Amino acid sequence: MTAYIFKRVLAVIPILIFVGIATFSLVHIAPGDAANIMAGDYAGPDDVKLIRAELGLDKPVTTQFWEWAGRTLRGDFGKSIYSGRTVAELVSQRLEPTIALTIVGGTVAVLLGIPMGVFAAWKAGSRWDRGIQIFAALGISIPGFWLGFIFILAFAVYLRWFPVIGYVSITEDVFGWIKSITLPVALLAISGSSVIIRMTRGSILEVLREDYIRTARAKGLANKPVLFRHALRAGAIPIITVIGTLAGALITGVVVTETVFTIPGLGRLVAETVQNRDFPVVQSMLMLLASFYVFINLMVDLAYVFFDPRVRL
Amino acid sequence: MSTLLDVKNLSTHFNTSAGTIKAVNDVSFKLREGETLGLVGESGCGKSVTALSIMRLVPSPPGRIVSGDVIFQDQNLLKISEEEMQNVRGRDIGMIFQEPMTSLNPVLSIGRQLREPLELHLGMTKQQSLSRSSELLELVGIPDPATRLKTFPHQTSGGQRQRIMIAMALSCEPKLLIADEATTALDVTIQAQILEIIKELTDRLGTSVIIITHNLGVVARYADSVNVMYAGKLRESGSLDQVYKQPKHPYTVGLLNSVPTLDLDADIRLQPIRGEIPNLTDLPKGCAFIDRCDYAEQKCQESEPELEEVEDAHFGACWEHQRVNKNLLGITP
Ligand SMILES: Nc1ncnc2c1ncn2[C@@H]1O[C@H](COP(=O)(O)OP(=O)(O)OP(=O)(O)O)[C@@H](O)[C@H]1O
Ligand SMILES: [Mg+2]
Repeated sequence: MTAYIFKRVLAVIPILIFVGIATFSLVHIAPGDAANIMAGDYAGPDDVKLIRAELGLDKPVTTQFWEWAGRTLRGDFGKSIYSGRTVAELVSQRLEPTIALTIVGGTVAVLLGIPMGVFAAWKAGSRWDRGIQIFAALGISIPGFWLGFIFILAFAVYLRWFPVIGYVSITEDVFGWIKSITLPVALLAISGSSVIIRMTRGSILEVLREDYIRTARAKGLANKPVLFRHALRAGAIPIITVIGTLAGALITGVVVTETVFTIPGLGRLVAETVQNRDFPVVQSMLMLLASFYVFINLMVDLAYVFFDPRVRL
Repeated sequence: MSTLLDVKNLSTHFNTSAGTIKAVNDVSFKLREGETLGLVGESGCGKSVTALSIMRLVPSPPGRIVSGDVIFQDQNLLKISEEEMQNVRGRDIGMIFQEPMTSLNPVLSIGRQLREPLELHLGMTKQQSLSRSSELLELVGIPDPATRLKTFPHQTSGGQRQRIMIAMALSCEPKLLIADEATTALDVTIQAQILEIIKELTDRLGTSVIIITHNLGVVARYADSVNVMYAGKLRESGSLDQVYKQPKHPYTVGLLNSVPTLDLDADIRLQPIRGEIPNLTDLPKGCAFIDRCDYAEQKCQESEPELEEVEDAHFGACWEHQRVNKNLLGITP
């Protein structure tokens, strides 16, 4: 067990190295030159050259890579070439809204998706089941930005229940914070829970046909323990997998959501800096997001072990 | 001994795209306290569905108990609420299933699964149920029970799993145990061990048993009385002696003649019953056994014989029961 966990954690290292190389290459292969953009339309070739030298872009690419890798390993993620602020500073400023959105959105999606999926499977073929399935189908197929605008129009502009844009820090005003994240969280939770509902329903439906469910019923267990202790645990693996995938997808979902609701989070930071070719920030951000992704996958792997005793062998 | 279980006119149907399957069709029988009843018949004749109907565990949809009464200890199990039924399952009626490999939940520890009925029905604390589970495993002959409780089903052999199932089914000392082909999937020596354990424990507890099996040898060894089922109906029922020595239905004769016995004369070959069981969605108007029967007459085609008492407490459903003779079928080619 401990050996298994240790092995999985060690396996992360080569992945992160690969991610580092890929991230660096991607940023440097991508068209558009940071120096050009920085210098602006009226700069001459000499100005651009100067800027290039300043940014270290005139050195060979491999040198640039080793320098970057060395700095990153020491925890120095560089500076924005525009604002001159360190990446750490930029990220920490933008971190709170993103974390709030992903954690609250993800939690709501799970807390909504799993019970609804289990319920739909239990009542398979009923009107409830059909209703939940329609919800899930809509939640998956409706584009997030469109639904976001509808939400803004309906609940923020027309009904005025929520602010149209912006984010209120939880440390400033808890009630304001709740109001400011309600719509974006709803958006994330609808698409997230839809995916979870589908997977949960399918998995539980399959498990409910198993002999051991009949055994559980024959013992006199009520529906709740049969469904949530026996069936959900036995059908947990595909559900955990989809939640892991979803956590990864939340990253992209957050970019869209933050853009639609004009929330100053990491998603917007990525979008802005990519447009500006602010490569130190983009590199670090990609590294950060990729590490998050790897971390989620690691968690999923470890969850398998926790939920399925057969994986240990 | 008083009657423990009284099944009256039980019918359970499955609605499928191919039509309504009458898996259990107007079945009635009684079981006394402490009695062991063998329920036999070919595959698909409705034995499991009868058992599941008593437990109210028929998968629905497509299954539905359409009519009948199941009187158990003065309450009608088909009339009580689902919550009341949950108190009967596992506490008053225990059940063991055929598939030991799939009947235990693979992701819950054996201890967890054993403790469930104890905590649910007997209100034990975790500590109490753990030590009781350990005792139960010991009782069914599992070595080192305390360690075994912490393991998972995949770390255990089929025979051991079936022992665990027995421990689980008998953990609340039920009045009735239903063993649905509890040993069919196991190899022969282990089969015998498992059956001995069931017999020993149920004798000790005074538990009534319904043994469902294809194996007439098992019935002969463990049962007091026999129900022979065919195409959803009981065709013969009586004491072990009555049914085995003077069968009153050609189907019973066929079953008996297809059992290998040690004292079989060398020139009497095993005689499988010819033909196949009829389609349960489209049963003939007359006797359902007619196509396979050597005694069939005009009357058998026209109307279905009901189960009637042919001698004291011996019931048969055959128009020609007086002509039925145990040896007859064995010597006709
Ligand atoms: N879930 C189900 N859906 C549809 N039909 C079913 C279902 N379960 C049982 N049946 C039908 O009910 C009939 C009786 O089945 P049952 O399982 O009681 O047979 P059995 O006598 O126990 O056979 P076996 O000896 O093979 O266990 C079968 O013909 C089967 O087709
Ligand atoms: Mg069966």
